[in-house]
Amino acid sequence: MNPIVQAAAQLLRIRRGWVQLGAALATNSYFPTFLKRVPCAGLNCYSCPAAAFACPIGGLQHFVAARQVPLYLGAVLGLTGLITGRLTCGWLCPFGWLQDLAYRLPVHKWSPRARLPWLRFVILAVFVLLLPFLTGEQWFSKICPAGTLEAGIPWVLLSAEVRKQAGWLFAFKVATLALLLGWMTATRRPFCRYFCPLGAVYALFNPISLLRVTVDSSACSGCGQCRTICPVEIDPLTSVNSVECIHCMECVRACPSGALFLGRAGRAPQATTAELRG
Amino acid sequence: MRVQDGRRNVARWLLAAILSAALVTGLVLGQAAQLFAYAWPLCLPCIGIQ
Repeated sequence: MNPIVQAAAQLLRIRRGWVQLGAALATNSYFPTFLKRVPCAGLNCYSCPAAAFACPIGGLQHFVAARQVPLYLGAVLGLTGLITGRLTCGWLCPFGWLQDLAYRLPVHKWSPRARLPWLRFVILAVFVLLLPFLTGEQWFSKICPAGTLEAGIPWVLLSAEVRKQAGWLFAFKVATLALLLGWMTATRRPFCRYFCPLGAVYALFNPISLLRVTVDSSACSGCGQCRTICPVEIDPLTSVNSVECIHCMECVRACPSGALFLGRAGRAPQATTAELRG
Repeated sequence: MRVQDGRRNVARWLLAAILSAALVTGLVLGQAAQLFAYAWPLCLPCIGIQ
């Protein structure tokens, strides 16, 4: 068993919410700011008054807007994706954790039929790469809800100078965030599923990452618990390790028959859903 | 399936080599310091100020 899979198996012994809380505190620990040389693994605004790391998406826009190839940042994100796939989305991203918490609120739940897995790639291409390259401005930052929540609102509350300058863009961002927060209570992880450009970067590496969940079709009882528990509402039997899977490994934990497990890297699912369900 | 696994492994190692080279090059070019300089002041568009 490779060390990545071993580490992930250890991670599964801990409740995911505690790891997410720890990651959110660590990334916003007001730690000595030399860490801002390092991009945060999850989506976390560097302008948050307590942020310890640089924002990966903000950094990408910065380099692209300056017409430089983001070698360092791209390599850090790429290597993270190559090793763990979208594990960051499932376990470390503070904004992902917020969505998991919001969905626990007892309100009417709604599961959109449209999956649109390509939409976040369009957002990555247009708002993070193309528009910043053409205009020299950071377009995704202008709509980023994590920035509004972690930086915009705190700074408007903390600083009279910032409050004076906040205009229509701030109002637009707060309205967008309010809509998204409402949506988070009804739908599982809508931002991750439809909009997150960082999730899109990691998703590119998900199908070949060292960390993989394996399906043993012969052990599957067809109970469907993996589908029920999946926070991004995919069918783990066919779509685990796909670009939509966030490697939270809840399906591995929930499977009563051990049909889903952390397996040898490179090992592919052994059957299709049709074969599994007869 | 084994052929597919083999291809996946080749892709993995190739990408790992390219990304490692990019990481070293980026560090030599001082991009970590550039990231620090960028991430130090406030991000005005993130806050909602143009």
